[in-house]
Amino acid sequence: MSLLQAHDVSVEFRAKKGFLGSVPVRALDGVSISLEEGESLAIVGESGSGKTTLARACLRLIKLSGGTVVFDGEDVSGRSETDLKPFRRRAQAIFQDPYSSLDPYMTVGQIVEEPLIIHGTDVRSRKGAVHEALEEVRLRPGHEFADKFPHMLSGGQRQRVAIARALVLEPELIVADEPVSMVDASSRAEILYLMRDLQEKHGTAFLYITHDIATAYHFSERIAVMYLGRVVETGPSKSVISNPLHPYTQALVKAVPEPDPSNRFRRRASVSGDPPTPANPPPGCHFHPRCPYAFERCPADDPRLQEVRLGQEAACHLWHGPDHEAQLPATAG
Amino acid sequence: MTTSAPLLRVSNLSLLYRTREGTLTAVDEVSFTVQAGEAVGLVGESGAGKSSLALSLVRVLPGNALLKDGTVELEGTNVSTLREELFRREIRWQKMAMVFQGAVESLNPVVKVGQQVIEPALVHNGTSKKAAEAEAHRLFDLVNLPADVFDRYPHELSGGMKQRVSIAMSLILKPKLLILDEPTSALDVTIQAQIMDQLKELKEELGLGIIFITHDLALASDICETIGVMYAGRIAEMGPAESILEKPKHPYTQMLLASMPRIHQEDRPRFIPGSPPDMREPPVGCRFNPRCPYTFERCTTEEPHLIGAGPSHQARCWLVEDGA
Repeated sequence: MSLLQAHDVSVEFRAKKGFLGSVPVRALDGVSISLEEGESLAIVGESGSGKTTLARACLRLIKLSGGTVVFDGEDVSGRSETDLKPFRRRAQAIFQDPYSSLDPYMTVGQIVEEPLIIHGTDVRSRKGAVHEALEEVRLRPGHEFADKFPHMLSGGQRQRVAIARALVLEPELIVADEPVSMVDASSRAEILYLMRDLQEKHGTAFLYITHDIATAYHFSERIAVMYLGRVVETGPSKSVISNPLHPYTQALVKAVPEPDPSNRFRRRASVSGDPPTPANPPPGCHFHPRCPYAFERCPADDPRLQEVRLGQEAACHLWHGPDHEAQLPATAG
Repeated sequence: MTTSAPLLRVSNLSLLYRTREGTLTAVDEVSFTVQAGEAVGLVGESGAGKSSLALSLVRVLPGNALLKDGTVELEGTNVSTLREELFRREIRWQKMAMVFQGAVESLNPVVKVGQQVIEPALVHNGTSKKAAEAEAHRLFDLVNLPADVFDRYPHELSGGMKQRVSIAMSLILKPKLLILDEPTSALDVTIQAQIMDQLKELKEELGLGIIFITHDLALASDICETIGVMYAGRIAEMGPAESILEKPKHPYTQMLLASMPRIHQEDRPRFIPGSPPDMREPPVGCRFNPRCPYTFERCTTEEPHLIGAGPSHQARCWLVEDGA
């Protein structure tokens, strides 16, 4: 049984339009993902893809418009906030901005202790747990860091405080939404290694939300690629990167810049145009207006996610026609 | 003016900030040149001094900044001693223009983008509105913006389109030097690749000299012939892109390269322990010594100068002299 199973999840927001009007925006459109115990899954997508909405839906920080979220066999999709408390303890979050997610008037020790107070841990064991969590995220010596305020720390250190706060309740799932995008490039890998160590040592499952397919590749076992509210491809990280099936994934992989002096002698753009707005998605496959391989069926018909290779699924008509072998897009490698 | 003078020569530029906790040196004796048609990348982490350096070139510094030292020569003419009035009239926008970090979100929301693009032309050299509009339309075409964008408002445009608008605006007075401060950091990777391709085209077509400021060595490699790696206000290493990326000599450059996640190789990215120094009290000796795995005695007492490490390639590291 999966630890976390999101099934056909949809989320709609109302976006302002004109003076009094509003229009529904479908941020998530029938998304299904599952996460095993101790596994790490990266949700990769650009802005507007719905990846953060998916993270929030999985944590039940927002209401679903459709579908279910099942955690350890229990459906948490319709629960009230009071009934969610046991779930909250077992599923924790790390947010993008370590400058705004930590209260500037609390010490590091108080920040990490707060979840223990909320969940009623007795006073005597709290101090020890805080110390242990700080040491574990390598804010050592823990008692020294416990007395510091967030402004005395670097971005990377703040993010480690956020991890310690998530960790102190010994959760089974941590949802990390862009945990390193505001950390200096040279320290990013440090945070990601730390998350990986925790995953291995405690068997914590990670849902890693990112725009960066390269870190997803190195730090997650599986990747799900999202585009405009839908998952378009999912599979083992290695296969998704070395043999991307969906034309969007192919474009994403090709667009990742690598330090190479010969870059300046070539054009790198792989797709033209901007992603359309989620308020008015194109019919059929959402990617078809930018897709170099689009054909008649693409604007007419929503492609479903289907397994193409072992464990690797794509939502693309190119792979599902009876004669798909004839029109395969070239994949890298 | 001699014909051999580079487009831009920056010599020994130093910039201080006065803060409540004391004075800090954000840019410390930085020197480099930019030739016409050349792109020079300034790469570094936050606090390295790269944005401060750019702001001091176009002289738009906050009130607590103080240019301590150094000269800026444009086509052989020293412009650092020009009075502000003259600098504004003849240099800024005209000869060197800058696309600021976050330019995408700094367009005026209640003015049509076309009007914003032609404004510098109207203000600076009293070009007729008609001529300025014609020039703006030519630039829109050049940066691949549809003509109808001219009459639209910023909120109607995507991030990529807004960035194209700010690039067009920076080019309206035909500058020879363009300073780009993190021009793609707010954009998605597929859009980022489009904008980088666009910049490459502009550079070739207009023969622009470019200073490209970024925290990302990969993006610098996308356009720059020359790369300078900055650390704690200093140039740590500078040279041709090929040498910097393939034969880096400074441990900081080596470790920065190793910290970049790559998808075409199996090696996991590494990280640099610690964080950049507090610039109010930079470390004694080499500024990188507290984070450097190769530190020896000399590094903690004496700061290395830029040492020749190859053709046009210099690194500020004692190991280079030791023949490493």
